[in-house]
Amino acid sequence: MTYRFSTRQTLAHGFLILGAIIVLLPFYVMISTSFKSPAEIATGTGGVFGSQALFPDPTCLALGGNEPDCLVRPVLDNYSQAFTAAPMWRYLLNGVIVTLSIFALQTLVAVPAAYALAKLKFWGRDAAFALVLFCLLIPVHAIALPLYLMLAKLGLTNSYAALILPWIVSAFGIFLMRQFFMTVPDDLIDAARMDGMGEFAIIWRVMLPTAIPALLAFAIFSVVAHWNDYFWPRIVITGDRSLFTPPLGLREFKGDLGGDFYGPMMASATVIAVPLVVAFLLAQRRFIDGITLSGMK
Amino acid sequence: MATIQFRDIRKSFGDTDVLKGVGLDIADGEFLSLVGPSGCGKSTLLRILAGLESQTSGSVRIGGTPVDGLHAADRDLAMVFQSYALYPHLSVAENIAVPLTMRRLSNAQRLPLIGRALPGSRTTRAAIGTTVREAAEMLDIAHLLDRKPGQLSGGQRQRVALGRALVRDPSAFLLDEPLSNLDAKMRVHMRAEIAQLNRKLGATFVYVTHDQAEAMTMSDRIAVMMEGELLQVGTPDALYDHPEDIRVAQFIGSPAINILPVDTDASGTIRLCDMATGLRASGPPIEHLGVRPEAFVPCEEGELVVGRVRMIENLGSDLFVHLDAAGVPMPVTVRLPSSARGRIKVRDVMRLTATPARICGFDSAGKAAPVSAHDKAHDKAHDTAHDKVARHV
Repeated sequence: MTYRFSTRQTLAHGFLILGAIIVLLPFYVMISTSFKSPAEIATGTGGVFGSQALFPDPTCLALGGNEPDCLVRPVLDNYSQAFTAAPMWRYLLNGVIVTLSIFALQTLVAVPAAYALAKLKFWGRDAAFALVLFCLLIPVHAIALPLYLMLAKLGLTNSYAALILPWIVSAFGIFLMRQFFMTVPDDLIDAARMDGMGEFAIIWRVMLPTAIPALLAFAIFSVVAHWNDYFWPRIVITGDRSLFTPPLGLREFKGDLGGDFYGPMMASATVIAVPLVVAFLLAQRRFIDGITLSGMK
Repeated sequence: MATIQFRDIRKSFGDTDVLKGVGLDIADGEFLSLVGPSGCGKSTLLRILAGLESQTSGSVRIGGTPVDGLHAADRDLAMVFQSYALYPHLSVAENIAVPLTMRRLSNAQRLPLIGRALPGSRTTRAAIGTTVREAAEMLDIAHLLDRKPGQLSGGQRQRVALGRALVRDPSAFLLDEPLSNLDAKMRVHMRAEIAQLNRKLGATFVYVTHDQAEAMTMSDRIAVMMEGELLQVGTPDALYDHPEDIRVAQFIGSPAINILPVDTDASGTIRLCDMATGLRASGPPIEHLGVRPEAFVPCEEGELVVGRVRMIENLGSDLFVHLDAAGVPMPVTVRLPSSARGRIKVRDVMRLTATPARICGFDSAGKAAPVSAHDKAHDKAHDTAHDKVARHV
């Protein structure tokens, strides 16, 4: 097969490549910085991976160590700092607990709500759906203060509940699942009723399994948003470091007076980003070969 | 096994009356078809029986007990849908097992993983497995039990849907156009199988279709519905030979019945195109005569209809001849035996008659009205008049 040169295609691809570079550049800086020694970071030298020349660890020297004993390799030092200077494992665990709890509870609310909005007939259904759409327009920051006050009054700040509870009703999740449920044939639900299922059995035994692809799409939005969220945990977790989520953990390396530790900070950022990238490379396949409705008509 | 009774069922969606007072009794073990053109309310009636929709007024009894207000799940009915409505995420075996697991296992026993460990769960599940296998063998789909619905052909999916319905041994089966998504050959095949299933199980079947051929071939009785009303309920023979309404006559039978517009004079003599037909109305005045294509017999004289051949359809076993007849707006269709092949050509003039017993009369309201042979023999004037017409067409 031969390919003919096409100006249009070349321009289009050039434009897309430019876009990809703009998106990927911060990741390049993050990963590259996590490999370098402080001197290389400060001077902007060392290429992609840094020279990996040994350098004396300032903390070790400050504690009175000999220079030959305190020599470390930049990449190893950055990543070991990421895990030792801050309880990174704890932060990652918190991140997993919080994002998975949020997603599970969101599913528990969104799937029945979406089923009712898509398939049940009741007075005010359209108005209720319009309200859900309206909720999509409200930015989180607009309601952050009242939410914080409510949690504070309930004495729930500095707890997992503060991180999870405000997010369990997701207007986007309800909307997304409702749109998917609209495509499920009514006959399937009627068949389930004839087979002796109640409405909740229909939701969990029929609607949910057929909606796995839609649920996965929602999972990506939900997990990414809450794993990466810095704003809300920063507000409700004020003292207790054991409740820090990974993005809050990055602040450990913002040294204020002692100077910033960019190397370990970028190493932490890389560690935080990796689970998401891996999870969604795996989930990608499920999108394609997920259960389809093709067996129904 | 149960009888089913509808009492004055009415259903309105907003201002539209979909069902206008339907009353119908279905006997135990009977195969009853609800036929009618789309939008006549037959599916709505079935859904009301199933409990998937509620009637505006009237009542439904199953086995003598009123079921109004009872949930679909509590009515002990099974339903087969046009789209099969199989659960796409479950295998064939699991699909068939659903009605049993929902009824025989408790809520806790149905839980994934934990449910299997609960007491009694294992034996019940084993019993369900046996029943499912028996049902699958009966429908010849035992080799497909591990497949997913998406991997099956239309006919196989239809069998799975039937299996899911019969595995529970319900008091009645409701079938909503179950064959309309199948190809023509498969449809004829499944038609026979469903009728056999009815005899084998001895259960009541209520079968909704818009295809009169399905209704005629499978049913004990047929109920013809139009515009939300029951026009006639009877055996296929009764509906075919003695339709009570001109719309029933036109709906049942393929090719369709020939409708001849006629006048009845004061003496009761029926005239077609101002010519006496040799028939008289023994009841109310007749406005239309209905004659089945095979009721026509070619004749030399004393004909009912005369016309010129427009088209001949040769089906091998039969010959359908379409005539342009004087005074009849639609072409008249005649069914002749294959022995007539080659003896009739396009543009030939044909004279047709039929015995009065095989002619249906309809009054101005379209209701059946009696027709009998004229007392006198055909007079000469009538014959000559017809000859003139014959030369004309």
